[in-house]
Amino acid sequence: MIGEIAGFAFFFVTFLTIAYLVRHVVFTLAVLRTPKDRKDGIVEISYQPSVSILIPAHNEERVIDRILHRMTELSYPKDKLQIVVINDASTDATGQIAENRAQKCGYLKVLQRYNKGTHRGKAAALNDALRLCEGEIVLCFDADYYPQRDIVEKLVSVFVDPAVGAVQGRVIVLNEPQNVVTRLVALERIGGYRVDQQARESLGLIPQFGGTVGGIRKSLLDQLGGWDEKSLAEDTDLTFRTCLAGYTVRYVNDAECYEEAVESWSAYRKQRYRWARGHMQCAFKYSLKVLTSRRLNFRRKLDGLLLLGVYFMPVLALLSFVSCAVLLTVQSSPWWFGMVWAMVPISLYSFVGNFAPFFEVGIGAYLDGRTRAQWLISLLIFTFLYNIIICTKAFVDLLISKILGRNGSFWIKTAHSGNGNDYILK
Amino acid sequence: MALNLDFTVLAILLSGVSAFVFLMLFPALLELKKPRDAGPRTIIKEMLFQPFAFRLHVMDDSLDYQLNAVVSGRLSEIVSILPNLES
Repeated sequence: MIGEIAGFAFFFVTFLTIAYLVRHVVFTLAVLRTPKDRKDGIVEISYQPSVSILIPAHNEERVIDRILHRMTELSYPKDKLQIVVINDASTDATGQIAENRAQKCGYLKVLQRYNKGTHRGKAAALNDALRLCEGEIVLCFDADYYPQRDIVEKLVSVFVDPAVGAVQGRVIVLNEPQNVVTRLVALERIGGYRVDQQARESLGLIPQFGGTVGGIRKSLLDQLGGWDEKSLAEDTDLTFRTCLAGYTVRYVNDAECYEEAVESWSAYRKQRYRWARGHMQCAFKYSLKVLTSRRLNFRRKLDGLLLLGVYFMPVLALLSFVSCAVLLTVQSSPWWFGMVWAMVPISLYSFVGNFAPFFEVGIGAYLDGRTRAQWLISLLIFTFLYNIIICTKAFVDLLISKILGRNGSFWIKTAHSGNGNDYILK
Repeated sequence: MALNLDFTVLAILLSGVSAFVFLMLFPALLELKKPRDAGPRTIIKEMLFQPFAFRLHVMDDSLDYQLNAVVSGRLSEIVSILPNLES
């Protein structure tokens, strides 16, 4: 009986790992076939609608001035630009720093959220700021980011197509040389954006709006009712609502923005936990809707389901290890077990989550001219194992909260050291 | 299939796995010990370029002229400290 159950579980996981393996090979090949000199994703640079940039911030005094100063250096016409900083009940000097900048910059507003009883959290902060937005396109940047000067032109260019609902740019790690954590996070980003997102763009699938370095049509946002304040992954939630409403999400690889990556394993764990739990919430919420939607073709449905399921795979990896261990010791293993048992760990290492160590990171580093960075890929086995623990905990916590009916919006924010400033030459 | 290993096979298996893991991690350890990767593109306020010793890759095409100015400026600084061999 135990052998049969373990066999079924193992077969199920093997089937899914093969599906993801094929997905990542297809993605990698699609990117390799994309001409290098093509302006990735940029449609019409002369299209310049009015834009509102939202910068939510909670205790970001170490980094907020950097991005606000950068906002004054953007090359987008200032008469079409509006910047709204949302200070969500910060207990440090974030609000004061933002106010000081706003006094020098007419198109910069600060929304101070200190009223008791208001919902906290990034989604709530963004929704509150929507009433101040005057632009046709709403872009979002996290407080620790540092964009290119012409990033706004590049991001909004895709909206010349009325079918486009949202856009995502590329995130690059600013403080990569800081330590081994930042270097590995940088590798993950290279795989996730340069290959994974780009492939989805090239193949007409569903690039994910990441909640920062991206934007959405204001009219669509109003239609959808803003961000979901109950979701930990409000960006993933918005991505699928956009697609289910009949719009497309585009990815612009040339629109680069630099982020300050987490610098410690504990910060890494908290960040990935939030992503995993939020993403799983979306999976429960949207899987059936994606499957039954009449607005999505078969390829986008398949991609959507695989995207939604991505953070469950580390949990299933643990299941596969357990079931494999059982089958290796049980006398009556299925006849096919001897042939396929080796595939699971190999496949898992090749594809896990958005991080797909082998294929996507390696090719992404190659395309970026960073062949030496590929030497670090083998270290991703440790982040892979760590993610199994993180995602399993997120899954268990989510199940418990669903059973107990718990939910609430709050900041699970990533602490920023401001070390990214060291990598910007004055 | 039930796993049935004797000590010799187990020892060979463990040795092989250890050797494989070491070989797999060796390049990473080398890179961490003596980093040679160019790293992310360094941002000079207005634009981005990779460290001069490696490769110039301007991402902000509209500012090519500023890149030329920066490169010329840097070269000038280097040349200015060289001795005047003609005098």
